Amino acid sequence: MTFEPYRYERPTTVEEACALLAEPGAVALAGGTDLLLEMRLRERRPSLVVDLKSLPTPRGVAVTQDRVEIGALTTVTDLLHDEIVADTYPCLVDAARVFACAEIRHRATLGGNLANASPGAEFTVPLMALDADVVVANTDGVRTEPLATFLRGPGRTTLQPGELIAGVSIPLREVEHRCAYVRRARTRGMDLASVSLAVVVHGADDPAAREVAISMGAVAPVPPRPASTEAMLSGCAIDEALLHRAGRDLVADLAPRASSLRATPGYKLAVLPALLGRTLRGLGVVEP
Amino acid sequence: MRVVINGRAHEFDRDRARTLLQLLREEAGLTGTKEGCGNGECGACTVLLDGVPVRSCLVLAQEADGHEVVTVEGLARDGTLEPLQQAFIDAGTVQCGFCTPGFLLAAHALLSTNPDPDPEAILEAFGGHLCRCTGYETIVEAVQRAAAPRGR
Repeated sequence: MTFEPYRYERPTTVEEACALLAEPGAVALAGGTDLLLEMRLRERRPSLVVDLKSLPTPRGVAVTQDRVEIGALTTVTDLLHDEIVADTYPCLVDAARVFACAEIRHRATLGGNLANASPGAEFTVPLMALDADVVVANTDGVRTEPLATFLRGPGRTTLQPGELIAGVSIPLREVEHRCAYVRRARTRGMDLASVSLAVVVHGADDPAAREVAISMGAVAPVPPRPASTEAMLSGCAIDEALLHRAGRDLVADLAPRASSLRATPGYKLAVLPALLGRTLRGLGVVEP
Repeated sequence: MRVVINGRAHEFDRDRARTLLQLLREEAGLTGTKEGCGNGECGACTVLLDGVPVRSCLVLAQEADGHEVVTVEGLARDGTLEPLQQAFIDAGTVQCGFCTPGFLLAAHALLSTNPDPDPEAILEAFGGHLCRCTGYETIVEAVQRAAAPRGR
């Protein structure tokens, strides 16, 4: 196995990195756990590899009054052990825990996970339910875009030549919230999600003020937010009868592709309502 | 480019397109690191990069420039196996042996951060390591044997 020849650069400033990434044939390298596979399969033949790991963009998590900011170079291992993430949005820890295996968690980064834009990516699914923004750096400075519009489809984002992902910014609301990310995979270790679900409940303690956010992975080109199901479950007490209706509504508009390697459409549509019920019960917001 | 491998500094051509795995095997002559799947799935190519276990098939050679690598050849000291290696022998873990270097480095990294891991932690550390001779039980046993004297 050999790669096509490439030039390797490891810039130390964002300006330099953006200028390099504007060159034809340039590709950004963070953890490399997806990029090297694509280079090996000749799906990508970059003439210039721009290694972002020496950039001063923050690696790690910071919390302000109303946002949680996560640097793009934060690894999955970092997220798994981060106390701010565990205290604020533990659904991201749920995602880190099931992500690939230890060696890949040590290398793979949050920015890379977003840039690859896999429909079943472990982090895009909870981040969609958390209304996250993507912070993009370019030669003009930075721009911020909702993840919901940043993701365009499998492997496609709005990232332009000369741009790199600097981080993710998640709103932190004052109301008490609970969240979880769950998935089904073919094996317990080292597998991608066959199907996945993230649930965020804002105002968990007060049914009248409660807002439920849901997103699903590996069912559509971009993880969808089921607006009608969210509305059914928000602002009211949730009992088993409502859960049953919500589960049917959750999958009513889904048409997962039949060519998935990991699970049939029938499996996904059967499992998601059960996952929704189990997750909401686990979050303690279903009336006994 | 300069890479410290098993405590010794080496110089390599920075312009060649290849993985860290290829650099180790073909240029440093350290063939203890194995290529299994080449896709990051099997764990045979695991090495320590700055003390952290990584898949060397998923690292470009250039990414190791200025960093430290430990391969299976770097575990023994002055010709004496480290206790973990001896425990792998004593527990009878090796059949074909192809996966062994990767398991050793994953276990070495685990014990360096968690000197007395429970079986669950050992299985978690081995989550991305395949043994096609299905020697998992003896491998877990070997790690427990190596951990026990350290823990006391």
